[in-house]
This record gives sequence, structure tokens and C-alpha cells, in this order.
Amino acid sequence: MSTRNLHGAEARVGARLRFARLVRTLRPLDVVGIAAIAVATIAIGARNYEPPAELHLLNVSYDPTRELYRDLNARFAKQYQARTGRLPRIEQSHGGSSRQARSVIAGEQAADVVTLALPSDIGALVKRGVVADAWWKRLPNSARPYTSTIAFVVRRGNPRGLRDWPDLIRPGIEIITPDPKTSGNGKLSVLAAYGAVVLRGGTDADARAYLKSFFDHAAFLDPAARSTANAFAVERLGDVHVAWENEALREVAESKGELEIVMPAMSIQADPSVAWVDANVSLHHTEELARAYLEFLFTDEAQDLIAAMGYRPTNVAALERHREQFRPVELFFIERIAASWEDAEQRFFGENGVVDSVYHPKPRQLP
Amino acid sequence: MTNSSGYGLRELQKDVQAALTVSVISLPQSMAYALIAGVDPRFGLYTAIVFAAVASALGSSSHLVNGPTGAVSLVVFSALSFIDADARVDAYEAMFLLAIMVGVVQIAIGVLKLGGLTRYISESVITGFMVGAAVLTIIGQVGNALGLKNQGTGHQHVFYRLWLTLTQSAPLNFKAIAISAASIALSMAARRAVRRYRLPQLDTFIVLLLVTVLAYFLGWSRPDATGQTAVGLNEAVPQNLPGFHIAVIQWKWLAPLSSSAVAIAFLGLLEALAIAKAIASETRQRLDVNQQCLAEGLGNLAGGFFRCMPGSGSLTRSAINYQSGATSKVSGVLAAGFVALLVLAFAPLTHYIPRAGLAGLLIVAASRLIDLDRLRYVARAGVYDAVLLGATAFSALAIGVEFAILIGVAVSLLLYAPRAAKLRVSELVVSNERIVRNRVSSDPKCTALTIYDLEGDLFFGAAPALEKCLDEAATRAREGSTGHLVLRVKRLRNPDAVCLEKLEHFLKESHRQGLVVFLAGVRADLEAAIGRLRFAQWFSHDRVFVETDDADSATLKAVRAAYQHLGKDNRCEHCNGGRVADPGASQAAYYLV
Repeated sequence: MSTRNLHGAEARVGARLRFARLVRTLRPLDVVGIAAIAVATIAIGARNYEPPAELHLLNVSYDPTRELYRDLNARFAKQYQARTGRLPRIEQSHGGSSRQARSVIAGEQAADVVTLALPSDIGALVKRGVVADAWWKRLPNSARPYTSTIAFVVRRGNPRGLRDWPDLIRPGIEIITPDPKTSGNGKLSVLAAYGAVVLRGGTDADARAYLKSFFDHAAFLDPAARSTANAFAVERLGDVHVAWENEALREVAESKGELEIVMPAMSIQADPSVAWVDANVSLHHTEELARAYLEFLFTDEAQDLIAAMGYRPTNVAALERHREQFRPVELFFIERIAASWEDAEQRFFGENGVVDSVYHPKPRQLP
Repeated sequence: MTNSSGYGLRELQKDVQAALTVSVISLPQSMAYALIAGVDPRFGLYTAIVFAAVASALGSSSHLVNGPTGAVSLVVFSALSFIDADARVDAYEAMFLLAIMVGVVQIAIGVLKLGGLTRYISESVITGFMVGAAVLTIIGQVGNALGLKNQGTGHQHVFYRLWLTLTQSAPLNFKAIAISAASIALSMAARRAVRRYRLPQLDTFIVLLLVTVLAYFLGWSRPDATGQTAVGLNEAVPQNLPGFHIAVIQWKWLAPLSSSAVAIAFLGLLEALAIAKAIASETRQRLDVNQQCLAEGLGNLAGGFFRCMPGSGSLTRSAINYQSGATSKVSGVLAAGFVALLVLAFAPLTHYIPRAGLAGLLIVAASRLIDLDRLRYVARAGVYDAVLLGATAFSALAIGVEFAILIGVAVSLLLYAPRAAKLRVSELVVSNERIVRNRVSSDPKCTALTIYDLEGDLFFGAAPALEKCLDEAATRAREGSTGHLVLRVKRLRNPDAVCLEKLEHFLKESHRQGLVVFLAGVRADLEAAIGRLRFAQWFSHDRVFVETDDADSATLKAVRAAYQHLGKDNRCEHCNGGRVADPGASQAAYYLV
């Protein structure tokens, strides 16, 4: 043993002896004092304990994006931790897009970010002052990380021979699509169908007549996209599922050949949009994280993942890399049938709008 | 302890009597000290109940009365100043936390048996602190005495706050001034009467009662049509006892409160121990300092859970307790109980006490803290204590009352260190009568033998002084042709490495220059050190004379050895002429300093 070790050992023994001596000389009142300190510390600590503020983000999204954001969140969390050393816990919430927006407005969900199906759903948040007016200027591409459209899903071999919008209202065809009052998918089905009539020379009255027939063919109207998809794919209800293109791709891929995707000749370009909820991020001190999260959606890494999940990335290069999975379709912009998404919301889905004249609520009657 | 054997009815009767007197005085004092801390008066009363009971029951002193005190309250006021002036509830919760933190520090001091360390804090520091605290108390009560609303926040300097208060646009309230003037005049008269006629010391209570009744019958404390009263009144005290409450705190308070908690812990212990010791020295009670620390700490800690302020031992109440014939701790505990009963019985009435009346009492009490006799004594005693006292008082006023004691201790260390670093050096001489004594200037020069006597602490700070002394001795020794030097090291204490190295260097250098050095009166610690450092390898052991218990001094042995070494070569006129050196005589030299 070297001298230094010897000294170290001596010092340790000395310290232990001194401590032992101190313990031996403790009197009852000393013990009471030490116990009192312990009790006081525990009492104050327990009374005032608050769980440590962790880095936490709630993304309130629409219904079919569950898988998309599950994967994106994992990638982002890893990347954010590598950059800042802090691992964020990102929670996601899904449901019919308009219903999700309403619950954020009502404060039922303290969303830090919203990733909704239509820009007008975020517009509803702006009207209530929870999202800033210029939200669409704060991120690239008017805060639209991806687009999508409406497609048809049919049974294997397309037994009813459904190719385009007019085929859907042939006698005996049963349409499966969500409720336009609550679901982004439902709204876009309406807008796509309406556009398919008027942009081919039909009048507004023709289009309304078509929509009336369309809803007559709907067996029921579920509030959100995913439950509707399950009704068609799992429960095998109806002849055609009028769905998000991404949902259609997922459904077909999971069906092991049971289902096929059919692209109508013409459909609408949907513009799902994202924003951080100003009122909540300032409350949660998550503005930096929320901004980083949404900016991440526009990175090459995220855009590739978005494309792989069946959404059309807004990054042109990423779209080109995944070209083959998106069938050719003539996409029309909302401006062809309305002044803007807000105008469309007002005119089609507002009180006494187009939908109110052609539809009546048709909740699913469970056996 | 007087109470351990034969505590009977007689003792109990005496304790009850003393406790009653103390509780009646506690009532106004506790509310006034809460006023100093800038908190609701009920917290002062709660402190006089819970803290006082716990600290008295567990303490070592038989006569110490605990509760809120002026000095501690001053520090509490500045400790709470970081909390927004409008957030009163936050300030109260922070104060309860502060009491708990003070308790924790005091308990730690008690458990680690560090209570004795308080004796290293000079009396002059305490006196200086008291002066500063008294002046601060008076300044703090000027606004209340003049009936003005106190301006400024705790962040601002006390003099600036005073300036803001005095220069605000509100007019002076002459009714309030009348009340404060009356209470000051009455207090001084009442104290004189109590002294002269040996009355029970209820003067503060009676004065407060008088001004309260006076204000009431003049209609000054009754609300007018708008609900206003002509003079500011004490906040209402609810008619109930303190309940258990765990402070609701913010964790960020811990840091700003911690330095104040340490300051209050020390201040409170100093105050309590000083009073307890003073009384114990008269009663011949054996005081257990560490037990008293634990008791104060447990009292503060428990008090923090019952809405108490931090507290300490009260000088006035302890003195009255003792003078009223208290025989044991029972009186302190009983006094706390009586305060509780008084609160239950009379709490609503305390609302009629004019704030100016309390302010007047505080101003009188604070000015009594400035003990002019003691100040004069300290000033005459020496510059050192005057500087210490002045520095502590000044820092209490200029920097902050919570730092004053720490600054005082730092200054006393600064003043002490250079004094400790001094070495006393004197040259000795062997007289014609063969007596070794201090050399006086009339002594003839001895060219053969130089004897130097060194005294002091051999710690690193003294190393320059040691070097200088040794150089001087060597120079003096070399003046003689034969160069023999005896160093008397008997009164050098606690040699450390730095000084030992200086000594070693000197001895080697002297050897090189042909100087013969003898070390006389080497004490055990120095002997052990030079043994470990192996001086023997180069320094003859014959020249080291270890201090022994026998009658024959090591110094005398060294002197004899030096003369033997000189032998026939000694041609010094002084030595030969006076027959100082006679190698033949073994008992030749006597010793006397």
C-alpha cells in the first residue's frame, strides 16, 4: 500500500471515528431536533410538491393522422433531444377535424399545436383569438406541410364498376363517408363532389341535386374518418368508401388484396394546415418547442416520411421520390368553387349552407 | 438547577406571579415587534404563545423568556423585503418558512455542539449591533409616530424610505403626534416611578392602556361617518389561538431567505445566550449552551408551523421574569399560556390601540437599548473595540441589519489577525549578579553572548515577524567577535510548516556564517516537529535544550552551555569584569525575568 493510500485510509478512519463520537454524544433532545428537522422538511416538501415541469406538447389533429404523427413525433423527439438535450413528450389527439377545433376553443383540450384537415378549422381558432391572425405566414408554404385529396375505396375487383363521381349515385350503391358537420373527410367529400359537377358544366342546382342523392346513398354518417374506414374495411359495410387518399392507401395496404383504390377523374386538393396555439403555448411556455415541432414537418426527413405515409408532401423533390404511389388525378383548388377555404366553410357548412339543404343527420344505429 | 429538587407549592406560586407579570408585558411588546417586522400583530402574539412555550419548556435557562424581539424583527423585515409589498399573504407564508429555516440552523448548531463558538463574537460587535438596531427601529417608527403612511419598499435604503415618508404630500397627523408624544412622556415618567417606588414593572402595559383609553374617549379611535378613524389603529387580532398550518411556499424563496435565516439564527442565539448567561451568572445556574440552542431552534421550527415569527430571548421580559421572583422554567411556559388566555379574552380590544402609541413605546424601548454607559466604557477601553463597535453599527445602518453581525465578526478577525501575527522579542542579559534578566539600555554590551527571548504564535502569518526577529538577533550576535546566540523559544506556540522552514533556514545560514546558536526551552510540540523534520541530521542535539519540569531552567542550561563553549576564548570585558562567566561553577546563573 502506498503512503498516500495509507493516509487516505487513516483520514477515512479518522472521519468515521469522529462521526461515531458525535453519534455517541447525541442526547435525547438532539435526536428530537434531528427528527423535527426531518418532519418539517417532509411536511413542507409534501405540502408544496409540484411534479417537475417536463417538456410536454399536445398535438390536436384530425382523425386519420394517428400513424403519421406517431412516426413523426418519435423522429422529432429524438432530433430535438439531440439538439437541446431535453426529451420532449409529445401527445397526440385525434378526431373529426371540426370537432377537434371546437374542443380546443372550448378549452377541453389544451393543444399546443393543431394539425387540422382544413385551413378553415384553424380559422375557427383565429376567430376565438386563440391562434394569431397571421398564423399561415409563420411557417413555410402557408403552413401546409402536405396536401391530400379524396379517393374511392372499393371491394376487390370493383364489382359495382365504380369509376367516377356519377357512378356513386346509381341505384343500390351504398356510400360510406363521415359526417361533414364534424369531419374534415366529410367536408372534403362534399366539396369534391360539388366541384366534380360544377366544373364539368353543371349548375349549382345540379350540384345540390347530386349532393342530395349522394347523402341519400349514405347508409349512415359517422363523426370521424377512422371509424368510418373501419365500418367499410373491417365491418364490410357499403359498396364504396369516399375517403382521404392517405386513408384509402392505408386501408388498401392493410386489406391484403381485399380492397382496391379508385381515383375519380377529378377531385379536390385538400390543404391540411398546422399552427401553434398562441394562447396555450404562452401559458405552457412551449412556444419554442411548438415552433420547432411544426418547422420540423417541413424538413426533408419529415417530408419523406409524410410521403411514405400516403400524404402528398409539399416539398416537390419529396413528392417526385414517391410519385408512383399517387395515382394521376385532376386536382382542383378550392378557389375554383369558392373564394377561399373560409368562404367555402361559410357557404357549404355554415347555417343554412349548401349541406343543410341536402343533408339530415344520419347517426349510425348500432344493432 | 434549583427546580429539580423540591419544587413545591411555594415555587409554583412564585412562578405564577412572575408569569402573570411577564404575560401582561408580552402583549404590547409582541404586537409592537410584529409592527417592526411589518406583519400582522397577531403573528407577534402567536410567537409569544407557541414559540415561547416550546423554547422555554425545552431550554436550559430557568429564567429566559422567549418570544418576538426587536432585533430579530428588524432582520425579518428586511428578509421579507424581496416579496412584493402588495402580496401580504405571500410575505406571511415566507415568514413562517423563515422561522422554520432559522429553527433548522439553530438545531444544527445545537446538535453539532457549536453553541460554544458564539463566545468568539466580541461583546463590542453585539453592542454595535444593538446601537444600529435601535437607530433602525426608531427610524422605522417615525412614520407611525407622525401618523404618516410609511412609504417605499423594503428594497430601498432605510434612510431613503424615511425621506420618502417625511416628504410625502400628506399632512402631518397632529392627533397621532399627540398620542406618540404622550406615550413617550408617560413611558419615561412611569419607568422613573417604577424605579423609585419599586413597583411591579407594568409600566409599558399601563402606558399603552392609558393612551388607548385616552384616544377612545377623545373619539380619535372611533370611526366617523366614512368609517375612518382620526388616528391609525392596530390591526384587529382575531379572538382565537394559532392553529397548525404548513406554509404554502414558492421554492424560489429559499435562496433569498437563506442568508437571512442564518443571520437570524445566529442573532437569536447570541441574544438568547447573552441574556441567559447574564441571569445564570447571578443565579449560579449551570447553563447548557447547546441545549439552549436546540430549544431556540425547536421553538422556531415548531412556531413556523403555528404562524409564528422568528423569535429569540427577550431582554426586558427575561429580566422582569427574574426580578418578579420566577423560580424555574415553569414561569416561562405559564407566561405563554397566560398570553393565550389574554388573546382569547381581550383580542378584539387590541384593535383600539393607536399605532402611534405602539410607535412611541418602541421608540422609548429602542433608545433604552443604546446603553450610553457601555458605549463610553468601550470608547475608553481602546481604539480596537471602538472601531469594532462603530463598524458594526455603521454596517447595520448603511448596508443592512442582517449583515451587521457577520461584518462585525469579519472586522474583528481582520483586526485580530495582525495582532496575532506579532512576535514579542526582548533581549536578555546576564547581569553581574549572574541573573538572567531583561537587558536595559544602561547594561554594558556583551561581545560574547547574545540572548533573545521570543514570544508569540508561530503560524504562517507570523513568519515575516519571525524572520525579522531572527535577523535582528543574528546581527546583534555577530557584532561580538565570538558570535554566540541563545534563542529562548519557550514562549513560541504552535509552530507551523512556514515558520519551521524559516527557523531551519536561519539555523543553516547561521552555521555557515560561524554563528553558534542554542535553542533554549524547546517545548514538546516544537521538539516533536524538529524531530520529524530531522533537524538532528545537521543541527547538534547538544544545542537543543528541551523545556523540562525540573527547577533548573532550560534557558539557564543553555546559557551555561554557551559559556562552556566559549571557554577561554571569552575576552568580553563585561563577562570577565563582572565574573559573569565562570565555567567552573555549575550553579552559576540565576534566572529572573
